[in-house]
Amino acid sequence: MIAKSLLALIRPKFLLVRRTDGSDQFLFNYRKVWLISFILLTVVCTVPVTFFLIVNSRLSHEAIQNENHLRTLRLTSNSRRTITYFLEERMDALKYIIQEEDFFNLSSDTGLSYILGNLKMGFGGFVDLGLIDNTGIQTSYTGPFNLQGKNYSRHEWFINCVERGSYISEVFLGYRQIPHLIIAAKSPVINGEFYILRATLDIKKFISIITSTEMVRKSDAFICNREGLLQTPSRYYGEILDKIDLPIPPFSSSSQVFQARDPDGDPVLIGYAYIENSPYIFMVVKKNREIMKGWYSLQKEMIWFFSISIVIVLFVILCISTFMVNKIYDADQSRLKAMERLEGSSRLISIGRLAAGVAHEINNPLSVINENAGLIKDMFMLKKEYQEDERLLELIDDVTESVTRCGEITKQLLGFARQFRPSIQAVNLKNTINATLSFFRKEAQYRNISITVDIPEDLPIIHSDYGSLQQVFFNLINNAFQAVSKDGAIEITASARKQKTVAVNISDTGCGISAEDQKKIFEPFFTTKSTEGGTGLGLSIIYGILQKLNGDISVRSKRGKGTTFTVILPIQFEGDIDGENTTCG
Amino acid sequence: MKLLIVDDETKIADVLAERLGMRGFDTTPVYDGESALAMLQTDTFYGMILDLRLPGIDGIEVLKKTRSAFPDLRVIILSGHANDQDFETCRTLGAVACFQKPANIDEIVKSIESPEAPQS
Repeated sequence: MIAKSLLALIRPKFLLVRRTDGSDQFLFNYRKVWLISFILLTVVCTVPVTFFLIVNSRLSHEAIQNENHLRTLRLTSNSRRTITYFLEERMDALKYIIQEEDFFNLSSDTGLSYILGNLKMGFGGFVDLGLIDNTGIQTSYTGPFNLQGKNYSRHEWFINCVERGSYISEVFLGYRQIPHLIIAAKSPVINGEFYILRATLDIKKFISIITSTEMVRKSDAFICNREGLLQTPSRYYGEILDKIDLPIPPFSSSSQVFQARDPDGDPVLIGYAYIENSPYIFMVVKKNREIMKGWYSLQKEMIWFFSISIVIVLFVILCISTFMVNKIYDADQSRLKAMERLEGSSRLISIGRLAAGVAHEINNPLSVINENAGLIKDMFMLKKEYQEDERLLELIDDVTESVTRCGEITKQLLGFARQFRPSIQAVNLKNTINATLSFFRKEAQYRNISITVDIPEDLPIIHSDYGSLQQVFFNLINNAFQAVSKDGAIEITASARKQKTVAVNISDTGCGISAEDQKKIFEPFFTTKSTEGGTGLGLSIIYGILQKLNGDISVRSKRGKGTTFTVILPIQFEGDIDGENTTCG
Repeated sequence: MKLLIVDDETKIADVLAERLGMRGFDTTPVYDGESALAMLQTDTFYGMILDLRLPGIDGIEVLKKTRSAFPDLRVIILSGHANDQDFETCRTLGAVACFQKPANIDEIVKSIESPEAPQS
């Protein structure tokens, strides 16, 4: 039920019309109008909204990306500062010790363990401490392992430290097989001799610096060396000393951010900073998917809202287009009908004129035939030799009879184009119809046809031409009598309509009229009773009369059931009744 | 009884004259309105059978003139072109009967012989 009414809202009427005759009777191409209206409205309504949606989406996407870029940059440079500070602080502590403490204190195990205790207390992160002489031998050591006497002379860190004066190592496993890093500082050279103070730093302390950085929740922060070996564990890319599968960014003295793709092919935002005086690179990796999560869900909501709005807008547009086209269609149809009627009545008028002309022209030759045939008959009647010749008289009678019949036709043709001036007067329809019916009472009795007249007493008196109306009703009742068989029924009813017109229905229970014939019955010379002498003029004359009287006639019929003719007459006659007034003669 | 027959169609006028002659009338056919009026001046007629469409003076004119000059003349209209209104006019002008062509001769005779006097 609802679906049906919705369909009626959006489906234009012209789609329902099947054009049977193949001719294009439409004044407009409704399909085109409908489509243009629909497309135009759709474009006008949806394009700006879509445009704004896309622009807004792009802008917000860019804004979020920019903000993340900045945040990552800030995080990276903050972390770089923290890590640099952490390492420098401990390096400075070593340098301080090497300057402050004398060699003997450092080379004694008790002195060294005292210093380690102070370092642990003051800075934290120190695991052990050792003194190495210029030949690379660890002369003294304090810490959890027994490393005294170890030779480091060939170790890379020793060589580097001798060259540069200080050294920070990468994370490595070393003799102990646990990841750690070392820092070392060289003493000033005196008489070609020097020594190196070396400390092992706890990797846990190092890791905690990184993981404690803010915003690590949604991202991965770690340190790797310049070859890409992980120095601290990573959430996504492996454990300590694994090689990360990310591009190693080129050296930069400041913090940088760039876009890359991780091993899974997901786009990632990478912030990095090279830590000064160390082999370390600090990296923060943020998955774009994680960053844009909020944005995506917002977009999703927006698109949902947008889609639903568009569907509603399209529906409304469809309704509007259909409504508009239906209005045009209805107006068009009624105009088409009016045009058809006008065409029909003007055709009738011209046929009427033609018929009248033909009738006039035929009457004179008919008259000559009539008089001559009459004269021949008269002559025969006078002469004895022909008087008894029945065959001759019969022939002559046939001629005069045919002439009479032709005369009847021409008389009716003249009636079709009735050119007398009707006079408008007050007419009581009930009396008019009863008077007309009086001609038929005898026939009704004889054929046992029941006649019912149901006309209310208060039916308004109309203003019309009495003679014309009598002709109309006479013809219609006569038709009804010809249609019904024995024991049939004829009913005449009348009612006022909207205070302006009166409708008279003349119904019979006769043979009915086929739908095909109903279209033609008001055309002149259309008859189904040609064999019984019908001329096919009666209804067309009625039609012509009613046109002149500003009335109308319509027919409803079902084959085998009966026929109802409805005559509509105006109560007040308005306008000019003056028909064409031709010359007489 | 003398009858004047006026019809521009000579065949009709002549044959009608002959047929009415056979029925005992003294008939004179003429073929236009002027000669009809001239005939009426020279002779006295009992009746006139008049067509409406005539060359020169038309039938209605002839009827009007004869009605004022000869009020006793019985005028019968016989026309092939007239409509009801024309016949109505003729009757009010004083024609005793109007016939549409082709007409039955017996009815014409009946209307001539009927005792009804022409209206004045």
